[in-house]
Amino acid sequence: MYKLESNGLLLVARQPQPAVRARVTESSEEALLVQAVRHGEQEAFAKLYSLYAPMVHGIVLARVPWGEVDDLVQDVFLVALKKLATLRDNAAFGAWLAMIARNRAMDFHRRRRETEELTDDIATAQGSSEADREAANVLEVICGLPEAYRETLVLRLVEGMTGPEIADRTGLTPASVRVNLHRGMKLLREKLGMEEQL
Amino acid sequence: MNDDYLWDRSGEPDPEVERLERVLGKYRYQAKPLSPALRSQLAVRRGGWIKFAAVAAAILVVLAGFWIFKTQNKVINTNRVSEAQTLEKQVEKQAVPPEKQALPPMKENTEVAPSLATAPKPRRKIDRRAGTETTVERSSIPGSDTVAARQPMINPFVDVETARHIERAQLLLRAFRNTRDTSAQPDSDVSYERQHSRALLSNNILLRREAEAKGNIPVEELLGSLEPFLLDIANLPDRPSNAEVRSIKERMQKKEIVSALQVYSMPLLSQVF
Repeated sequence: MYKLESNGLLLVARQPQPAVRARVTESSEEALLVQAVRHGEQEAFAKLYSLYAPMVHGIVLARVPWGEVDDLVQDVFLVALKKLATLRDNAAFGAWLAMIARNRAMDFHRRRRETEELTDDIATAQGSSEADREAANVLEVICGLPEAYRETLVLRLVEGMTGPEIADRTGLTPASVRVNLHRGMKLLREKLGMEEQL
Repeated sequence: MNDDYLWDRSGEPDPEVERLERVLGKYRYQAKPLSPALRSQLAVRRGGWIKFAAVAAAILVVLAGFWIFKTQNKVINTNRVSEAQTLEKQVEKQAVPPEKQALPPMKENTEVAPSLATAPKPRRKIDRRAGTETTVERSSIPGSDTVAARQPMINPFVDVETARHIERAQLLLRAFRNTRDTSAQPDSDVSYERQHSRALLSNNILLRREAEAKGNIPVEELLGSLEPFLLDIANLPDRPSNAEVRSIKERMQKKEIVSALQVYSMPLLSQVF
């Protein structure tokens, strides 16, 4: 929306875009769900779980071996449920949950180090077919990228979330997500190209 | 290269991104039922909420009960005031002998009943105030039985001893109010009231101090306001002048002490205990 003032200044009136409005509505709905979970509503929790499980799965997958991810996802939600009373703003549930997921993944590595030595290929899943091997290889390369890029790339390429969805769920700004995706993809292309050349 | 497809899958699809999506699709999250640990945690939360609700409901019930109790007491007290007024009228009527009631009204204090000394019937009533005659007198008043049946509970501020004291003081003041102080009869005989007032006075002081020590402000105030009347009556001469008697009566009327005593005395107290 543009408006030309008498002094010649061009004013741009910012209207919220439909996608942004949809996200806001979705966030408020999620806040209501969190409120319902606080009151012990099981259905609300199931809904919240189905909404955020892919995000938690992606964040954990970017850090720990695939075989351990499912247990850790449940563990993250368990911790979140126990600590829900400490969450001040219901609308910040996504960012809060993402933080719990990152912390749990770190705890996992800490515990693993105490019991056994972590090998380089632990993040990869053993595959039998060519496709499985290729998938494990790509995931290993992604997990070798800097943390900010690998998390965003896993959420986009593995979990199939779009950039705006990633921003909405994790609490990151859309601009940060876009930059992370762009740079991460560039790095991934370079690494995969390098590997193909080798 | 335009990365709109990478951003939100809009625009021209990027074949490399599409290939990576396809390859990595096997790691995608597969919806699974909630683990038993999560379910049990949810159940605990639900249980906690129910417990909280139960406690809150219990508190509400207690508060509501207290409020109802207070409200009922207020209503009963109001009823008692009106009952006291009825009772006073009744006593005044009974105190006047039938032959005197037939006489034309006197010039001064026509509403005041004859002295207890000259009217033996009311005097007998006071002498036997704790006996059956008191009961008979009360039950003869319309509505008093109904009030007693409706509200047999005791005023929470007043213990039994204080309630008895208040009842006695109330009867004394009523008797005193009914003494004659007209010009037709030069002096009133209040020797009985004076003697009785002295006995009540010492008890009143004790009970007032006790109420003060307990922090029972309503009773303390009531007994405090009763004390000057008991003192005045106790210090009257054997045959006080009409002016002296009238002065006390006027103050009693002004302070509405009898009504206040009635509020704090219990209906059918002697029957309850």
